Amino acid sequence: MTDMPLRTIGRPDRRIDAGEKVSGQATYTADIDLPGMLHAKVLRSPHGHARIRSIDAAAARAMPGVHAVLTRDETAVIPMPVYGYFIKDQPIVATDKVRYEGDIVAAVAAVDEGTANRALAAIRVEYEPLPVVTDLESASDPHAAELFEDAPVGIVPKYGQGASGELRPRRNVCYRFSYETGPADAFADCDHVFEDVFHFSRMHHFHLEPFVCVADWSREDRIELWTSCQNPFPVRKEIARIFGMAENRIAVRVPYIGGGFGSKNNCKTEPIALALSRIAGRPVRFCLTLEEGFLTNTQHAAILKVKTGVMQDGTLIARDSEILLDSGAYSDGSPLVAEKAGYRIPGPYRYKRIGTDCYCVMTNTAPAGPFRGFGGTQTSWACESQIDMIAHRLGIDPYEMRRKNLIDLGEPFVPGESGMDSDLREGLDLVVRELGYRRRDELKDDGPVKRGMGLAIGFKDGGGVNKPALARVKVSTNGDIFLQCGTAEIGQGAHTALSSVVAERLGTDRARVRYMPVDTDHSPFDQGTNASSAISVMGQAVDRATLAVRRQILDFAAEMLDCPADELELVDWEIRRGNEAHPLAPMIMGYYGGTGWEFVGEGFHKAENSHAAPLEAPCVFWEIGWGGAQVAVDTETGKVTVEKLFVTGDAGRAIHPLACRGQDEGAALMGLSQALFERMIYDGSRLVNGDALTYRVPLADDLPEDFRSITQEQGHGPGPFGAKGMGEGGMLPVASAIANAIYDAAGVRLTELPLSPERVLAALAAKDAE
Amino acid sequence: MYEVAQAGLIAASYRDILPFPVILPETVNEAVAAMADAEAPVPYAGGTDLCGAVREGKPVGTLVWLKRLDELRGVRMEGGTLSIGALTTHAEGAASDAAGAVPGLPDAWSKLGKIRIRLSGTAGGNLMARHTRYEMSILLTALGGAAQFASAEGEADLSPGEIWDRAEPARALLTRLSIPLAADLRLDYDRTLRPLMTQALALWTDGAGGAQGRAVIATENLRPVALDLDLTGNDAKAISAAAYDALPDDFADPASGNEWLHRAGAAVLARQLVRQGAARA
Amino acid sequence: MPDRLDPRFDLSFTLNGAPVDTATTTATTLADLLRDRRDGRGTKLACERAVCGACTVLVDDVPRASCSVFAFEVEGSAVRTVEGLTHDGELSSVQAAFADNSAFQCGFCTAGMILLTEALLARDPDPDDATIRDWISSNICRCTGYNLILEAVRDAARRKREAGQ
Ligand SMILES: Cc1cc2nc3c(=O)[nH]c(=O)nc-3n(C[C@H](O)[C@H](O)[C@H](O)COP(=O)(O)OP(=O)(O)OC[C@H]3O[C@@H](n4cnc5c(N)ncnc54)[C@H](O)[C@@H]3O)c2cc1C
Ligand code: FES
Ligand code: FES
Repeated sequence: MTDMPLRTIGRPDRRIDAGEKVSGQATYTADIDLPGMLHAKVLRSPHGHARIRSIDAAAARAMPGVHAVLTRDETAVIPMPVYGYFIKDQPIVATDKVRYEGDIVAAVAAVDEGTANRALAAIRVEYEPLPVVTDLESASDPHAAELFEDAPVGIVPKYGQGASGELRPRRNVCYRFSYETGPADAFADCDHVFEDVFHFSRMHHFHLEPFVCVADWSREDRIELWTSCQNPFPVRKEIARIFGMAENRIAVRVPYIGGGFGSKNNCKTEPIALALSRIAGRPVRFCLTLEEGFLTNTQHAAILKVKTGVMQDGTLIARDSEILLDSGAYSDGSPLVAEKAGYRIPGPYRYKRIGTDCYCVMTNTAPAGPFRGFGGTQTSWACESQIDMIAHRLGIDPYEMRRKNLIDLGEPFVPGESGMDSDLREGLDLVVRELGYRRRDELKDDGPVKRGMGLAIGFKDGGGVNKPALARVKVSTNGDIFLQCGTAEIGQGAHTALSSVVAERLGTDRARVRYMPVDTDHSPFDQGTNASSAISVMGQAVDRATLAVRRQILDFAAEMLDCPADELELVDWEIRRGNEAHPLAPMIMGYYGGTGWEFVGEGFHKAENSHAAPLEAPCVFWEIGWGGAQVAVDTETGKVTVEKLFVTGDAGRAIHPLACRGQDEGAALMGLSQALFERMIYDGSRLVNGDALTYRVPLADDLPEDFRSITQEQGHGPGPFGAKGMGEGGMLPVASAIANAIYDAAGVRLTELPLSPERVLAALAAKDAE
Repeated sequence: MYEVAQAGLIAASYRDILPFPVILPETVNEAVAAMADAEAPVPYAGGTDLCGAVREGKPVGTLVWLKRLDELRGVRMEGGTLSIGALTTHAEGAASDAAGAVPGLPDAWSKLGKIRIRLSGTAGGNLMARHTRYEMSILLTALGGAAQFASAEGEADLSPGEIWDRAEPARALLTRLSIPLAADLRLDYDRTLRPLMTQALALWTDGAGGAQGRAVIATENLRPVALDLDLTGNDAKAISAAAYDALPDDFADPASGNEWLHRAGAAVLARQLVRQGAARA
Repeated sequence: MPDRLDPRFDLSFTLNGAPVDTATTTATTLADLLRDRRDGRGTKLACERAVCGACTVLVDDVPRASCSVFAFEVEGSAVRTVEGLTHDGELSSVQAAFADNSAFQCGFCTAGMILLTEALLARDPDPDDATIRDWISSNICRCTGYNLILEAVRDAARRKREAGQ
């Protein structure tokens, strides 16, 4: 096993889902159809904030074809009809109040969607409108309306060294996360202290497969649920809690997921579909429209105030930050995002002092939650913009400023943390080379069109916090391999990568491995497919499970062949011993009988808990996205054209190179569109572009003329074969690299996204006025 | 997106639509008759916009399916006028030889939407969708064109602006778009700032041999606004600045403010004038 | 085609070469009609607004968003869907190029992208990069960043030309 050349790892062959996906055979939750299935639709609030005076659904209940109606009257009998991550504040349907335009007031299950919608139109609701809260900075003012007058149930998890959390620290703030290390007076010794404020825009995930589930609770003691969801086990737990049901009565199944980018964590469509199914006694499909997706989960808009102390030579000393995250009307994943934003704001640099307060501010807009980058996009935008600003103020090249302060390979990010597992300078130099950054003085302007280049290093901790993973590998008599684990295939290629690890370790082709359907009844427990954790965390469990089963097979063969196991190799389901080859199937049937046998190996992985680590367990791996951009700024119109965009991540070891490339480029394009144009536009509490036609996502003709990525394989990752996670890093550096390039080109600094022509022109005008 | 019912927002779906009768006329006369007689008729050209609108709650009593009206397809010269059949798809129109009678028009037309849309979407449907995001109205306004309608009451010619105001006769069918070919008429269409704004510049020579021009600015959310140009003086920036003095102060939308639209629009116009040789940089 | 259709009517067309005769309604979209058939779920629905192209099928070789085409419109037409591209288990050149170039991630846009590519290559067997970009811009892929898709289209064109298709 040791000296054999790798046969699967690192090969850009067809992914295991390729055949099904290109031929239309892949099944998604949206494709599931059960006999007798009903269709659910919901009635949503037209008000941003209102008290519900009355709901009259009698006419809807009486309509032919309607099998279940759900309002606060029905949810009153559900044991705990609210959900959320740390804070259980989101009702299945509104009870006393509605808190955003689109908040769900009632639901209907009927024979078809049309009948359901007609029934909804017959429901009468009386609202008493209340003032809305939409502004992050004034939400905590004493006169501001309050979204929650009473405290919802919530928890603050255990934190380690320097970190703390608090529920409802002030009006309309559901959570605060703080982190502190080093002396607060460190600023006093600095040559300069710079304070800057950055604004971050808000996007919708725009996954193509809508939020959808099919729920069957037609038998009282059994729930079956198919859902387009990234974390089936936590959803199972949440459903058990809401409905007071035993977890072993609930099966959550996750077919292929048509994209999520963070949005498909935790309960979305499931509680409503289940409640309706229970009332109707029939399976219920609840599929949101894409427009409703905008009202279900979004990224966090943010205001980031960053104060950084430096020495004249560019050495960073201290950084204190205050971050306001626009959490929308319900807490959803906001407290977790706050942890990460609060933790990641220093960026990959060395300081003597770090202090952060991050607040989840509730507003009367759609709930915000996990989004690719998970707070890291917000903080990389602020951090990497400010590093550039400081470098220019000190007259230092931004590249040199970064190099000087970057954490070294192996150096802990902060006290108690794991060491940096990428050579940050190596990645930065790669960008500089690929972009031609050192020759940027030779870039030619074109009359009013000015050119420039910018760099950035996006940074986040990866692999989730304190995440356990369990995997099972079974091998049948004939050498057919079953891989069971809870990682969902959401497009990232996890099923391919994990199967590759198994095939490689068992000396066989990946075609012999079947990734078994994700089903909480059969798959081993998993916390969720998120945080770029598939290969770095689950990968370790899969690797251990495979090595465990391999050991059993070799021990068995050693006994049969009466020799030490370390003389044996497993190749193509034969035992090799020197020049001899012993097929395994006859050996197995000879011992276990003609019906054969299955070898089963399990593997577990979890980062060790450690109170020294601020988040209670050291980070699994560091996800770095290095990026560089060349822009052309039209100083007469303000238009920014990104002529070159280069991003690079460190996969540690690229298990499937094309999947890695696709992740980096897909992420980078999301970063590009956020930088230039993509955003949810709110007018007060009303979303004005919440539909596919007017919400602009990038198309192929939005790609920069030169748009490339390179996957580095530095080999320091914790995953199998040295792999690290991928998938978010490519997005992180893009917006700040472009803003930095705009400064390089035109001498104006934009601190608010998107970097629209209007803002560029206004900044140029302000500069001219000086 | 939503039909705002009394009690709130409902995400409309295709499955909400009740089936309707469909009439499939073969001639314009049959189509006009169908429009006149059918219950709540809705014409259907390429369907790229209508289907979405119906999903979002546009009521359909009777669908009048226009695709068999071959006489309304294609672009041709009629005397001194370029005549565009309402059912001409963007792909057909942009590729037609006749459209080349207005230099710049085929190129501009080829930019409307992406190919999947261009192969089905029609010139007439684009205008009649009355969606500020759609661009045929901008081009037609710049070129001084008109839209011809047929109805049981007879024919009517409307300016693009009147279409926005829904001034066409009831139950009328848009049949053709016509562009009078002034001497040396040409078009420059700038989409570089789309979707925030686009600008069409039409230039021609009047009877007295004088150079004339008109610029039309539009955004994704605002109806096109025409600015008449005074091309004497030959200084592109001065001409465009003078024209932009007429831009209404309330020309602004949720994506862009008036000041930027004014400045960027004027800058683009000056470039267009130079590009077309109508003025000096 | 008749001059008039009642709300409920009988529809005939060919689907992937095989005749289909079915009773349907005028308000039924082509996508729903296809998806309600056995083995018809390869056509995906996302925006249902003609924007994203996930539901793209070929109607008489023209790529159309089947969510925004009424079923009655395909009377007498030849409709091709992703299910019709594979013959005897063998992928078409375009499908194979998408598979080999990993020109997909979640796969929800893939059927539409593949059919768009089939339509492009039927019109222009050797499209230049600008044409490929222009065509692929018709549909949305949220996952890949498009580069791998553009490469797959180039590769598919090469394969088709080499196979003399
Ligand atoms: C994703 C997408 C992108 C697009 N991008 C662009 C773009 O970049 N630029 C652009 O300009 N456009 C764009 N469009 C719009 C597209 O060009 C129009 O949808 C198209 O031109 C409408 O034409 P149609 O034939 O499909 O109209 P239909 O959808 O058939 O009809 C539209 C409306 O016009 C009415 N109508 C149609 N024909 C007639 C007639 N002859 N007489 C009276 N009423 C009539 C219909 O009743 C309906 O109300 C886009 C559309 C989509 C879906
Ligand atoms: S689902 Fe038909 S175009 Fe998006
Ligand atoms: S692969 Fe997911 S949308 Fe294209």
